[in-house]
Amino acid sequence: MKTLFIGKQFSDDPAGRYYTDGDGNGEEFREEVLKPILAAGKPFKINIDENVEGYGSSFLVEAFGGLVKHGYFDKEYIKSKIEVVYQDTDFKFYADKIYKYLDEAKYNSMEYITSKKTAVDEKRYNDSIDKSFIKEFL
Amino acid sequence: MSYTEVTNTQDVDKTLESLINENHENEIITAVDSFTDLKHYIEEELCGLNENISNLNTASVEIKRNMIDKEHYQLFINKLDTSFIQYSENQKENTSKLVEAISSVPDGSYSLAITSGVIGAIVAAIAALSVNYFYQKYINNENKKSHFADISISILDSFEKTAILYWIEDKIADEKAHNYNSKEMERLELKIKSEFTVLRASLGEFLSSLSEKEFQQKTKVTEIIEKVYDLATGSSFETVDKKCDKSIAAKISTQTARLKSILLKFSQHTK
Repeated sequence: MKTLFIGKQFSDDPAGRYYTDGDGNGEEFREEVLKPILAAGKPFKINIDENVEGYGSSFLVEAFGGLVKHGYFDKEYIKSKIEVVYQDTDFKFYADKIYKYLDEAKYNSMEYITSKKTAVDEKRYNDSIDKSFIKEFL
Repeated sequence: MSYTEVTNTQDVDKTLESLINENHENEIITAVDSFTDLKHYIEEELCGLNENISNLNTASVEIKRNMIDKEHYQLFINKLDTSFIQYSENQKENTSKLVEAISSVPDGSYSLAITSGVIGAIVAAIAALSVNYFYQKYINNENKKSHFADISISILDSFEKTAILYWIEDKIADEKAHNYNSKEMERLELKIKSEFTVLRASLGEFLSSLSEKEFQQKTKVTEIIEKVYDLATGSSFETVDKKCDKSIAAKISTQTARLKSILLKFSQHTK
């Protein structure tokens, strides 16, 4: 089972909810990383502690809860495909929160409207993160 | 002359002879009657005497039998005495042998005695060390609990100030605006995340020192810290156009106060 390292492959400072909040936001991680990998259907691990200091709940809710909230996958499917891993036991808190946000999200309760175009137009989002790593998970 | 005056045979013979010689018929008849009465009397007396003799015989037989029984018992008691004395002597001898056996080390087993002594000493030392270890562990745990409760309160104070400061102001990203504060807001965002990390680590240590009896406090602290995290870093946290939200600021203040009230109980422990 392959492991996705958020801190090393996506951003060492994952923050913000939408594209308009800058690179490394929750919406970007959900739309361009998690969604395509989950759609491929192969189970994978997500390492949350390597090269990351912490997460705001806005990022985690948008990235993980958004998958259910926007009706991409139901929570059972997601939980059957991902395994949140960490070595630093301090990050158990964030792992528990991820599963909690998945459980609390209501399936397909909000239509998704991207903020990417606005963010690009307003030059708040630079698309600086290379996301080619997702090919090895597909 | 009355028959009661006749006391022995010679007297009777003499009396009769004198009466015959003197030819006193009536007196002879009276005498004969007296003799008859005397005979009856003597016979009755003899009868009683025989009865008494018979009783005496019976009594003597009884006495004799009792004497035999007494002798028999005396003999038995003597035998018992002898046996008791023998038993007592044996008992004394056996007891002294037993005491000697217990208190002395058998030949050839001095190494065993030394080993037993050493093992005894080691066991006693281990017991003393264990008691000391567990007592020290208990004291350390109490100190740890108090220490991390104090530290957590201090970090919580700072975290509360930072979070409230962040949520009672809009984030102004327009650099041309007179109240531009995007950089200051980003600084507060970083501070909120880092202080929360330290707070969580400190509370984690504090929670690990709580006993099973303090399960309720453990659950409460965990619940509150999750709420504080969701409040302080949720909603539009880290967004470009984050708006002032006094409701979030108030909730953060309430939850941190609840957390402090729990921590204060432990920081004042003086065990």
